[in-house]
Amino acid sequence: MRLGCLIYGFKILELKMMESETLKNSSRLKENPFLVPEGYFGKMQERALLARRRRRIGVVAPLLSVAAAVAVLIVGIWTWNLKFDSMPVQNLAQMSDEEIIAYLIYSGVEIEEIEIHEVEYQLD
Amino acid sequence: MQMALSEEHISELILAKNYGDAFEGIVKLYGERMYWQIRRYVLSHEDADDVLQECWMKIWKNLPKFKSQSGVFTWIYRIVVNTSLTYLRKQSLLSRFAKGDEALKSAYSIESDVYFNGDALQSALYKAISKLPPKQRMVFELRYFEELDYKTISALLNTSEGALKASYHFASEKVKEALQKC
Repeated sequence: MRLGCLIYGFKILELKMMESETLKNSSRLKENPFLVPEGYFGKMQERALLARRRRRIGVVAPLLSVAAAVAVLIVGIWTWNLKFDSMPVQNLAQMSDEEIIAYLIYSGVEIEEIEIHEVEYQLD
Repeated sequence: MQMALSEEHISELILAKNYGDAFEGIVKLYGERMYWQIRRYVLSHEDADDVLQECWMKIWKNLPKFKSQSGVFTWIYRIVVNTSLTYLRKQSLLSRFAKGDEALKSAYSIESDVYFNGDALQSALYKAISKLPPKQRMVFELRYFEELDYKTISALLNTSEGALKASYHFASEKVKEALQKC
């Protein structure tokens, strides 16, 4: 009986030790189980060089939305000009990105439709 | 084939403002190591690739700010850890606010990942880790896999050593519990 209890006790102790050592000592757990697509590292240099080239800070909006918004702006201002003969028509190229974004949002374009890409020109 | 530059040489290039060559040197010397680190944090290859590309952008952008005291790899390591942690936080937020089946669809599944070659125990380990809150997960990664001391982790994550020890304790208890069920 005593031997049985002793063996049982040791088993519990062994189990507890195994449990606490599971993370610590299992080299298998620390082995790398992940794979990569073939050729991935071979293209790493090229992709890293591409990643560092960013586009100029700006707004990329659906072309139709931009064209429509600008058309409305021009027509609206032209109409207003006919009436009031005062506000100059703005050249799109002279409008800042912030002005375009503000107008698109004012016109009801959802913010999610406007993709803003952080941009920097990087020269080698 | 061009030999990889040493860390020291890269540091000299950066300080000499030869950022192009320094960047290429960093990619050659540390690229693969960075990838595997990130991969272990985010699990999926696609996500790891995204995070890695973001790291390249940040490294390039911040090369002029590099100060040689910390060493190139330590500097890069900080970028990798913080970019990955930001990514994990975004993922965690997305899955919290995605409702119903969308949450299931967006969740990464290690069992269905063709680029996972581990056994049942490893699968259970990574599944358990992926359920940890982002920062706790990062603490676990840095302590368990990378075997960093708490002082180093504290500097990386800007968290007190006491908080890190508590965080690691809770994380490892949860992971152990998951492994015992395996």
